[in-house]
Amino acid sequence: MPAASRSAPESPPQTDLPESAAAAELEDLRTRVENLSRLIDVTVLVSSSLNLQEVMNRVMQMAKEMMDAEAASIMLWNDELECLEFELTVGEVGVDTLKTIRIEKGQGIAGTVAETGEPMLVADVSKDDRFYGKADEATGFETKSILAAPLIVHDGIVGVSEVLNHKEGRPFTNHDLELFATFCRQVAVAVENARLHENEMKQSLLDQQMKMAAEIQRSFLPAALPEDEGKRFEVDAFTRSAQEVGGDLYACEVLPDGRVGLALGDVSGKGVPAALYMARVVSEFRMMCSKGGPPSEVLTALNAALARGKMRGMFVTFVYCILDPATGELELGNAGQLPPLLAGASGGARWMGSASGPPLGMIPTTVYQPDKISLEPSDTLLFYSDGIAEAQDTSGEQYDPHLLVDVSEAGTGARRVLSHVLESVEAFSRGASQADDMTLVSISWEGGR
Amino acid sequence: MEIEIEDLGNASLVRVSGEVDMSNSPTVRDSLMDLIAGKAPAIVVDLGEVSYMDSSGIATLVEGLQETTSYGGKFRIAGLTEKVKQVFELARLTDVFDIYPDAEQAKEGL
Repeated sequence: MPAASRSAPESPPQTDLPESAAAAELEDLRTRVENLSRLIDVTVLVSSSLNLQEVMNRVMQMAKEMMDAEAASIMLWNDELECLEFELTVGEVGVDTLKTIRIEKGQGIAGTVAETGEPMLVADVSKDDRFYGKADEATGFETKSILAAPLIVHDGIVGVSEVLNHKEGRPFTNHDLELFATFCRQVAVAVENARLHENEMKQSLLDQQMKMAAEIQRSFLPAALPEDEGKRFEVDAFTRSAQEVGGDLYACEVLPDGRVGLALGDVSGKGVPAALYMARVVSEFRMMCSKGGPPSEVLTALNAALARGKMRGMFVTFVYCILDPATGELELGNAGQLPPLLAGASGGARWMGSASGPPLGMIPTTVYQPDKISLEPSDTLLFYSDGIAEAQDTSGEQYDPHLLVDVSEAGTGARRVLSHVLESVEAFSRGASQADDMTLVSISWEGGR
Repeated sequence: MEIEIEDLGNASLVRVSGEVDMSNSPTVRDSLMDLIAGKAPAIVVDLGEVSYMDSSGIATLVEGLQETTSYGGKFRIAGLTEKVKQVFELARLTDVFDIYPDAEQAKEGL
């Protein structure tokens, strides 16, 4: 007779388990289901919450409840200081008292876990020499039993989490450790996601602020350049920062007596510090030049103002000229700036007015000497910043040896000279990244008419 | 870029070599500020081996000069290479700094 046709037993099999054992098994099952659901909870949390503090707080609450522990803590690895630092605790222990404690790799239980990457159970800390009592000393908490597990994401250990003391007073077991380690794998992902998100938020906030800073910086430059109805002069300007904000500046003002002032400045360094200094230079300059004083006097006053107060050695090379459109008389002051170029009406160009003193902001007592020339009709004066002269091509060669030739071939008129030089420097440096802020300003005199 | 500091007793010699730009001028600054914090009576910066210096490097020297003079100390620069010398001359930095042909001459009279 085949076994399959054997008749079924007449009564259900008898279990030998007493009722209390069955209840215990049921309880164990219930605990496992609860634990599983907590693991699911933490998995949901991984994808839902991105606030680092909130994530850490919730997962540590969960850890404490799930492990029936008196306290739970999370320590994150500080890459810079190469140590673990307490980020959050739940239970009777306040994190504030622990903030100053730094744990190196290999030090105590948490340090050992950070070193080995393996979870660790210390059933009774009084019998384990590796236990590091610093945290207990700081908080007055008495640790009896510990579960510690690493927080690991793909590129390594980001921290260590611990639960302390089972509420029932019993030591933690290997079964507890397994569960806690599984839980911590999810915690690691949650914490890392939140950390990445936080960094992204910070970066995007920074980007936004830089965009605003760039807009504010642009407002320090002239919104429009003056146009002369009588076409006696022409001015043009171009600037482009290497970074979002920069340290180059230019200014153009029609003075109360009808003369035209034009300036270019190049602040030491780049980026935000240079931009802040630039804003200060422009404000002070506009106030000082409005009285119509000669460039040398304006530079002397501007220098004295900038050299007051410690600005980490920052300075600005600065050139300022005033053109009288009626006569073609041009006054010039140059504080450490590269010599301007003068393009003649009949072609050809020459350097003129090399610096009459050092850059502004270095020594408060510097006095700048005046310089004066008479322009011929159709003469054009060009100022340029370091970023133009030192623009590099893809092989690292500098543009400046070409500058004089390019200006001499540019033709006449402020706009034509500027655009010719700009096209040349851009063609020269095509394919290379812009290392420094680039600024060009030009002014031409077409005759008194 | 490399920095060496030598204690000459009455002065400190800061020997800089290589290219000084925005990426490493803070390191030069740290060295100078350490000496300044200790109120070094004289600092000689030897630039004999510096092939390039940008405006952030110059600002570092300006700060060194401003700080040193604020407590009555001396700040000297020595051994400008041709390229750096050109920058100093064009920008009239020669009006600002005490510049010597080499460290030996800069040390004299300190």
